[in-house]
Amino acid sequence: MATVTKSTTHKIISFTLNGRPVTTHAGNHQNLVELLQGQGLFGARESCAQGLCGCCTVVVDGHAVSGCLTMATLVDGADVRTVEESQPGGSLDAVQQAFIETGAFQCGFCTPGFILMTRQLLDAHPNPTDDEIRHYLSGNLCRCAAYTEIVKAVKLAAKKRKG
Amino acid sequence: MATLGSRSTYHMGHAVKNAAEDARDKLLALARDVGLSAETTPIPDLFRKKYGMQAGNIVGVGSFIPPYTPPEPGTGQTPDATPFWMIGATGAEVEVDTETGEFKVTRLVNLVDVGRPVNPAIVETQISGATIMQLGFTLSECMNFDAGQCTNASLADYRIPGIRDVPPVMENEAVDMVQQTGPFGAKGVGESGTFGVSPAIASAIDDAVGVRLTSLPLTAEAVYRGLRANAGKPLQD
Repeated sequence: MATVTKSTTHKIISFTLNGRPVTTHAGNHQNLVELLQGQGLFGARESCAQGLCGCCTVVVDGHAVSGCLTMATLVDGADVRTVEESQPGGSLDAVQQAFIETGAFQCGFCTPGFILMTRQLLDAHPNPTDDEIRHYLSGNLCRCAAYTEIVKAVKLAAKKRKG
Repeated sequence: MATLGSRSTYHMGHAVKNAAEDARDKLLALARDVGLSAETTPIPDLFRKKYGMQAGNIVGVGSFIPPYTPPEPGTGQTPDATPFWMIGATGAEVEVDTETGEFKVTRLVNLVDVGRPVNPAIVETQISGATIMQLGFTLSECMNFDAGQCTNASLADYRIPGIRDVPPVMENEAVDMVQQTGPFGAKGVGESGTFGVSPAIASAIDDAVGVRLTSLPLTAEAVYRGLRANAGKPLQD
């Protein structure tokens, strides 16, 4: 009888989480949101579980992904960043400050996804037009519909980034 | 239009105000107790005098139950159904494609009476958010059922408004009002931004092309069917 040396239900993975090395069990059935919850991080929220709402956005190797559609074991060796990542100086970054100052949320459930996507938008387009903002953020849904304020927040963040 | 919902600010506002006043009265009583003036003595000094150190709690308690008279069973009438009514109004501008029935909402103006806005910036966000949410119910949101089973229970098939569905021009404002019975003159906000949206858009479509729609969501197909019926060439169902 062969000795079973490898689990068929989980894998031990190592990855970088918000800049710190992590080695942990990842169940074969788990998605990235569940893996992060196991690490005590609840900023990526599972809402639709179909990759349609953007609430579970996580940045993996520099690209925004839907945490609900990313199998946990696939981040083995990856650089994973969430909204909890501390910003230089330990304070809020320009995007977070802009969202607070413009009141770009009501319940806040979708906000982590919008924050992460806005950072990517501003990295790619430091002076985004209204159209670019709407196009870039069209994959994030906000049921409180704070969209008008979110567009204002993105513009304010762009200005803040330039100091 | 008006409803009687969105009363959290009214009820909680009164309860919190009552609790704060209760706490204030207890502080005044404490000051009297130790023979100091509550007006001029810092609160830590009141505690020091009373307990010999800067320690202790003041707990204020408050509750609020509004007056209410249940409806008369025979008539359904009551003189006191709700402490206040919410008022909201919307003006809409639409562009209709007379070839296809497709239409776009190009402008929405939303006015509400929330009493005195407790936090004006948040009130404006709430009006805007409520309006866009109602825009979803007006234009795209429709739960489909087959044999009692919802067949579109997914955000892929049940479309809620996204950032690209916001009308290019939207103005939101709370009128200058004071609710005499409200906490600091406030009523509430929540639903007020929703009341007028659907009828205003339906009326704008009617004004543009003479098609009166009476069921939601308002769709391009419904507009097109109306246009064909008006032209004396109705489509078969």
